[in-house]
Amino acid sequence: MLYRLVEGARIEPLDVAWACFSPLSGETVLLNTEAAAILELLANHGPTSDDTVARILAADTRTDIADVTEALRHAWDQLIAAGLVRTDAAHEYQQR
Amino acid sequence: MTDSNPPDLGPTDRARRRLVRGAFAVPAVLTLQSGGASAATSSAAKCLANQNQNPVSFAPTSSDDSYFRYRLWVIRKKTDNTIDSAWVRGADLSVYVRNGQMPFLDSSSWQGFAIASNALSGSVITTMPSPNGAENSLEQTGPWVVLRVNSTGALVGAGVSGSGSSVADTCWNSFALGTTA
Repeated sequence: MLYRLVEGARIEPLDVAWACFSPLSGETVLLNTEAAAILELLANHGPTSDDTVARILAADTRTDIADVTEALRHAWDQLIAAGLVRTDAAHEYQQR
Repeated sequence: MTDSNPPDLGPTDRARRRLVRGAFAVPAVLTLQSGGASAATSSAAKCLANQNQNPVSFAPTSSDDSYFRYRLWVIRKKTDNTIDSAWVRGADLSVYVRNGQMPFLDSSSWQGFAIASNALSGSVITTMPSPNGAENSLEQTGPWVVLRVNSTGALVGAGVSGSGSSVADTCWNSFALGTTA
């Protein structure tokens, strides 16, 4: 599954957390650094698979990729629900 | 709206540089409204209140999902790995105490849980459930059940038992962020 960042998403540091605005929901949510790092990766890499995100973040943090994969497992649903991330399949459908 | 333009995320890699080496916490998305922490509390309270006006329950799952869930303790038969009985341990719930509100099970108690009916079962006991034989074991490897939360954030049940409602992780996280134990 490929994931992509929603166009126009904005993120700013807010003390130890990150404030992130979704143009789709019109709402600002608070993210921890791990969630913000996911968005940064998608911004830099474009549509990216969950496996690749886990591999890069595991390398960043020097942790076991299995642990990162487990930690990410439900993050995608939350980021999609917050209007910050979409699956790439949905994007292709919209372009038709 | 289409997503044809590049995302506008500002200077890159700021969050990645903040990641702590040797650990990767679960990514968290917390619902907020503008206005800071007081607004966060208000938003969370509204989330709990709205959900309690339309209570929902969900069946046990084999893994955690985006709902506020608890993993059951089970007495598992080592001979065939089947579950003999399932339990909620009160001590596990104490970490979810907010605003000093006691959960439905105190920290020294256990209560059975009937997985098939998704409900608390039997009487509350104050001794650890016995595996009844060396071939069995008590371990927290059971299904994940929803915890029920009332409009003030107290844990009032599990599965379909008790008042309150199941809530999404984002709703619970937002409430917990704006309150104290």
